Amino acid sequence: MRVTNKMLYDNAFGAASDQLDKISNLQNKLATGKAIQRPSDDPTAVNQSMLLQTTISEQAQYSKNIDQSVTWLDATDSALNDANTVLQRARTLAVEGASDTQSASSRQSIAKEIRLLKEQLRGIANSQVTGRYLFAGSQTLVQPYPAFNMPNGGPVYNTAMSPLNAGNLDDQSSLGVQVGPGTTLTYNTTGVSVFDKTIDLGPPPAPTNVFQTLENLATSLDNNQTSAISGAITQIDQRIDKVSLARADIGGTRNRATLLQDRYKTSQVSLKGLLSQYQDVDMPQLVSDLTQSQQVYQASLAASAKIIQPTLMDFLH
Amino acid sequence: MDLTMLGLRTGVRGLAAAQEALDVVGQNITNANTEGYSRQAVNLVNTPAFRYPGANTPIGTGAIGSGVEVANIQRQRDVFLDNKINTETATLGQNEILRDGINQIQDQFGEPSANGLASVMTNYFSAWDQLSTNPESSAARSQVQQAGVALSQSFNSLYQGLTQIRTETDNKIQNAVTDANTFTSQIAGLNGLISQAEGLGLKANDLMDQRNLALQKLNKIVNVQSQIASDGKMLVSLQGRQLVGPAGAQALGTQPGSPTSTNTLESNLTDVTFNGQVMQPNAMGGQLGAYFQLRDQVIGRSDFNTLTTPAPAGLSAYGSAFPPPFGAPGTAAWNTPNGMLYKLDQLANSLSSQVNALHSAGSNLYGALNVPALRNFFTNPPTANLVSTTFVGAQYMSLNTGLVGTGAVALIAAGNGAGSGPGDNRKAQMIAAIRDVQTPIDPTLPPPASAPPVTTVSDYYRNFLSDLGVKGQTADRVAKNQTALIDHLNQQQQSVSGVNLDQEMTDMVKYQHAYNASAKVISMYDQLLDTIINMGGGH
Repeated sequence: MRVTNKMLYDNAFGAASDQLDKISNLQNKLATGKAIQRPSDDPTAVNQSMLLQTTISEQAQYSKNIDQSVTWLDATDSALNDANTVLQRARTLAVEGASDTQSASSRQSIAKEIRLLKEQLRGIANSQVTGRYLFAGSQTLVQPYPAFNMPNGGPVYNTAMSPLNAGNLDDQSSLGVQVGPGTTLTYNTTGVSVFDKTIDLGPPPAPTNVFQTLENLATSLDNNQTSAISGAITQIDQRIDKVSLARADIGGTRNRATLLQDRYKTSQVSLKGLLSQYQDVDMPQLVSDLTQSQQVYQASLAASAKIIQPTLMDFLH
Repeated sequence: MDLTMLGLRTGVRGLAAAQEALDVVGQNITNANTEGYSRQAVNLVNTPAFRYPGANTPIGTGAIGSGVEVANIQRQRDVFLDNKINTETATLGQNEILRDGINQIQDQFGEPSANGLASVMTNYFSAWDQLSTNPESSAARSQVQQAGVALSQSFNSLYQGLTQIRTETDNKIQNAVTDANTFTSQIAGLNGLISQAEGLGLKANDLMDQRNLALQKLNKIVNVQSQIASDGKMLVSLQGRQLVGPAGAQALGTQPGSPTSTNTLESNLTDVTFNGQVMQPNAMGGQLGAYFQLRDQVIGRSDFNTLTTPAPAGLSAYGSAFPPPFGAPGTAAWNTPNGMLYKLDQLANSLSSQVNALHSAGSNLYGALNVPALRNFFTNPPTANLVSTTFVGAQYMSLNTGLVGTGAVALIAAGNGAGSGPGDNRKAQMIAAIRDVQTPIDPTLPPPASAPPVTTVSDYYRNFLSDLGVKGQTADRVAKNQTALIDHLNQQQQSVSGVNLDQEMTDMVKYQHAYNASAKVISMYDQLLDTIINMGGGH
């Protein structure tokens, strides 16, 4: 093939500019730390890395949701633990009061303590976490057992709390969060299910809720009615069962939340690793590529310098 | 008998030939780096022999040479390679422009990054999730507002960015047409000069080089067909229409797009015309073809939100009946609305309508449904005069003005419905869960709309973006291949028509010596004549 000077110049320029292009590419990757600048660099990898990124941030959000519900679950559990202590104490007092050895006056002093326990339990039923009532269903901003609403000495569930909810069960509604695609975790326990008349409470006049039970007990103690006192013990037992059942529920939910949380933590690590494989540069590889490109670039420049200079002109005089 | 004068004449011819050859060498050397220049070679022939009678024969010994002359100066060029280079150059031009344009569009989307639409969408859903964990909180509610504004603004700015690129591309079409016209008139001008020269029996080597270069540059802009007529004129045609004919060049024109729709945006775009007729954009090739492809196919059009009421006839059957020139009904529609604008619009609308359906049924912080005007979360601005008020596309999508501001945080509907308490978060949960909902996002995609595939919004976005990436990658690969191919062809052409300085130097030395030698011959005859002339002188 006939070779001309312009071909040599073109070759020299072409080779050098190819290398420069490579070096500029490598430099860009090193500077940004990203292997991919645009989808067209590697459409499949970009598709995957965007999917991973979305999954990672979704899971991070699910984790946050779980954290939030765990806070609530723990607060509920500790409130119900307190409720249990109060009810156990009330039961002990009721057993004491039922004893034939007690005098009328000692029964009256027991009645006083029972009424204090009732107030304490009301406080527990009105527990809040971050300003939201735990046992109020979705009516989280309204006290479910207000002091002013105490017919027969026991608070009733605040059915008038929402002016809009005639016949609506929003105060019994469950609260949940998304903890996975299509997966909801219910984290609240409604006051109705723990403190209200959801159990067989014996012969009329049946108490409407646990507060009424305690109030009835106190009245029986005041009035020295031992048989009624014994009846109240059964009712308190049933109520204690109810609380235990709710706590078992919470424990189960709490376990599920922890399991999910652990799973998300593990998968976050592996997903981030995978994402990094797709979009982060391999530094040692890149640096060695850069060194290599630089060497080739210099070599091509040196070769060009030697090849281009001489023509026959240099040797004619 | 010797003919002294013949020898002198031979010497003079030698001098003249060597001088002309040296002129050509000079021309070659000075044009060694001229684009499109073809090396010229001097073809020397010996002039007709002179019959010379011999001493032993009455007829003569034969002939004696009478010297040398330049037969012609030949242009060294491989025409087949030229044709090949021209065709490949059109493909190169097209793919380079496509690649650059797609890069520009990709940069507009800015993926993959933490600021792209993908992240903004994820953040939007996360904001609803956050609200669902604390529906009473004004902070969480205003976060939803902010995320809604951010999402709609992302859509708005993407749409705007894309239409801007489309407008720029449209301007480039006009520039490309101007450039193409420059080259066709240049070719026509050179045609005239060349045929004039050829008529006089001359070789117009340098003019042919220039014409060839002009054709190659024209081919980069638009893929034309060319042929050389018997009178040496080059005829150039595009889609069967003669841009350069025997009589001269006829310019391509531009005109505002077809006024058959009232679509103000589309009708400002350019059509290329020839002799008053609109040229088919899909048969342009070259850079011009790539600009059309970018404008009408990659970016495309989405008329949902751009049309003013009432909808022009033909657009009701969306996607099937577009007015000419963009794909007459029954033909492969050139401007089928499945470009980026259309997809972005579909995405925005699918997302807005899903959110709106849930938000409309949800209850606000007070446990009540919002008044009808505030039920939709995303709306078009009330001022826009649009064909469809229910289609909330990318261009105008915005947070319902009634839900903007700190006073409106309570109106974000997170609750399940009328009567729900402030802690009810069921609608917020459901809106957050839209990210996992499989839905037919492209319901109107032609043809037939019977079973559009279902997908989640983020999958849809991800996939159309990587489709764009594949297009860009292909264009880049083809452009690189074409560059390599054209480099190779150029090398081959260079091998034929390039100037080798060593060769020219050798020629120069050769002809210089020939010149000197011829001069020597003359001076030798001078001495001979001198001898003869002085023979009769007094000794």
